[in-house]
Amino acid sequence: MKIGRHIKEGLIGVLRHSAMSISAATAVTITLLLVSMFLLLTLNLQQITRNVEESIQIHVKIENGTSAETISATQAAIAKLAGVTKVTFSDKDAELDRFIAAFGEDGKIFEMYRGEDNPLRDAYLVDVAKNATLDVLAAQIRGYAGIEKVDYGGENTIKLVTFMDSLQNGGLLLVSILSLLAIFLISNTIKITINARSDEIHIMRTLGATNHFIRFPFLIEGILIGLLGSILPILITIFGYHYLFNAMGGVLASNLFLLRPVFPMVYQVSGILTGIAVLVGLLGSFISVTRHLRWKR
Amino acid sequence: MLKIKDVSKTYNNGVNALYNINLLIEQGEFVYIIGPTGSGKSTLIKLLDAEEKPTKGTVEVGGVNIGKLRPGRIPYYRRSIGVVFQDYRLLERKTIFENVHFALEITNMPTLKARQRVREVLSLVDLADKANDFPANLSGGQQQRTVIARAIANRPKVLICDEPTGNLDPAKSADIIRLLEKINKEEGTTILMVTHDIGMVNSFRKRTIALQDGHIMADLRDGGYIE
Repeated sequence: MKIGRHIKEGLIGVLRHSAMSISAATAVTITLLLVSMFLLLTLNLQQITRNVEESIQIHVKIENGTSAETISATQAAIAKLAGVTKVTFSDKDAELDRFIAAFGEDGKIFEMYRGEDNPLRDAYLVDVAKNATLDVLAAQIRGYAGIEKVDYGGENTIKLVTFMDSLQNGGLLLVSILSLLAIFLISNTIKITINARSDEIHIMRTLGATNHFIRFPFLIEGILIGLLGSILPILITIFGYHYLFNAMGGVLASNLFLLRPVFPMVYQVSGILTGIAVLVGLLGSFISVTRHLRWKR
Repeated sequence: MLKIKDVSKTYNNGVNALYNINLLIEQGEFVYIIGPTGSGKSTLIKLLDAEEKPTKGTVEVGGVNIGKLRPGRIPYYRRSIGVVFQDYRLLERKTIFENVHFALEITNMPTLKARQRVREVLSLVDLADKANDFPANLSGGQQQRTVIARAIANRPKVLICDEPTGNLDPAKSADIIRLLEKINKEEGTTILMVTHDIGMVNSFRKRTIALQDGHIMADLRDGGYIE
């Protein structure tokens, strides 16, 4: 088999039918742009959801004057509760450090409370599993001796996580639907391109070309059209996301919503786009050419 | 070379195109097939290039029973015959050289040898200077000569011509017949030519087979047209 010949013929086919090649490649470009957009969005949502989930923590304040024995007994008891992954004891000083850090540069003014004047309480920092029911856990913790206050951000935290989860699932569903739409659109355009050349296929058959010999260059053409159409979406993915990431400082609104770093994600998305383009070009042309090659004498 | 025995053809829509045809054509002969529209000429061509199967009887070309060919073998059979169509059927996006070359490419002929053969046949049909032109830039006569070059490039034993002069003026038609005579003589190719052109059949006398309503009405060894 002369693969070189088929590749050359495929390339010539794209060039000599440039108008049709461009229209098919444009269909690829438009759909891949949409796929890329939703893919970037979904991947970022995934990242943000993970960040939010990881930051869910129950903050338990300990009453002043609680004995060291009670503190360590309660800590052990909380650690045994279902849904609790880790309990860390944080004394007054550590709490003040966290408090100051939360205010960033402006936090320095609270340094005056360090030492005897520290009004904060010792605390437990309770990390919980993703599927834990925060309100139930909070109620259980409140029942232990020496507990002053249990704080977990309330129902809104849970609602946010649920909302992000469904957004992410919706995004994935949309990407899947768009990919299917892309396959349909592109294979349809390639089908029209090849239908317009049914005479050419018929002539080749009358001259004694085997189906395989006729089909191969068309498959190469399909792949080339797919690749041609993926150039712009890939460039926009790499440079567009890079620009957006820098422009937004790598976050969406708050430090809790960290965007995914540019690299290697843009390369991974580009890889997926290239894969879709090649597959769709190949499938589209295979289906269309085979229709014309189904054996009739 | 070409043996048609008790052949009848009825299409799926019930149309009877040929009735009990018997015909024997020897290697190196030049034969006209004439007849009015609907006489069965096109069906005969379709049987010979394996586009259709006979309903009854056998069609043999060079010892191959065409009706019994498996679909996968048909391309290989088609390479052993040359077909010239009235409507040319050239690949429009390929140059004249590439069009002729294509017929050799599909046989996997080594490139250098194929290019040499293309140059040979293009000079035979007097189109060497048009090698890099596209079909649309050529006259009807030149396009038909390209089709003939393509059909003989692979040195077929038999050349089937379906109204090759149908779209040409008398002078160009005579050129094409002279070219076919040259191929018949120089390459020893058997030529079977379907035509409507009475003037030409009378001017260039060859064995003439007349078809009417799917029957062979006459087989004139000395040629000439019968009313």
